[in-house]
Amino acid sequence: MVIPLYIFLIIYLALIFVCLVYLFFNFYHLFKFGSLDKETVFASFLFLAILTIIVFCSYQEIVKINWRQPIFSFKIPIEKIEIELPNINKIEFRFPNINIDFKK
Amino acid sequence: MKPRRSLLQLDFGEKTILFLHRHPFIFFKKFLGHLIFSSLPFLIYFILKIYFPSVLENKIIYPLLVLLASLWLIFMWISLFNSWIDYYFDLWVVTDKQIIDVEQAGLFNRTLSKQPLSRVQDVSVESKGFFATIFRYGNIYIQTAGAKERFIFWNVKDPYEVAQKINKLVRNTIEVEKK
Repeated sequence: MVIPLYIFLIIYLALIFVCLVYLFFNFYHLFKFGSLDKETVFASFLFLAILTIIVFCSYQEIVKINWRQPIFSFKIPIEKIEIELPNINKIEFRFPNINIDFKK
Repeated sequence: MKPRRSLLQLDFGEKTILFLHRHPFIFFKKFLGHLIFSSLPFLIYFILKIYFPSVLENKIIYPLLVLLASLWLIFMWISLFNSWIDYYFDLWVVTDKQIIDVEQAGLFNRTLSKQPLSRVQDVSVESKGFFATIFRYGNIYIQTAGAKERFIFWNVKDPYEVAQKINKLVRNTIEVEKK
């Protein structure tokens, strides 16, 4: 079983979506109850401009990364598992026909 | 920088005398705090680059750091915008008839209190601290005989002048009512 790196990208995008919803409510609040004067428009423009720069820079870095690479993969050779214990005799397991050898 | 008139629910023909926000320095302090916190990802990046360069070459940790830094910056920036909206909608209005206190506590929580000028009993001013003295801002406490006994104008610009104007308005209102 392989867990790819893009799992984190999906979580990231989900959080960005939450941020966008929050942002939408901020703007809704601002334009519903505030007047559309110079300061409001300037502050909104400045905010959106810098947010766009942050998103653009993030995108530039994100596209460079290979998101298909695995974080880790579970590959257990179940045919043969060897367990070595320093002071105890070597125990050997074999699958599917389990043979336990106690070597002295 | 004014919210809509409908937000204040003014009577017809009511004149706005004072329109007060917190001093801009109060927002500047928040801005500075956000700026310091926003610089954290860059600081961490330089520390890692100098002391632990192998972390930045790691194919798993580096992408995670990129996502975290991006989220952090976006979150901080939206939070600053939210603080600005909070600052923008926190206001105190003195009209020729009443005082209005609009307090924005979060995005969906706003309280609006009103009190006629004739009910104002006492106006006092407090300006303490180094920055408050330098930038001339402070709190104005207005004692009233209404349900909300005390109105506090937090960190408004030129508090002494504002208090003087309110006192004058209160005196005029009481004189008019006596006649």
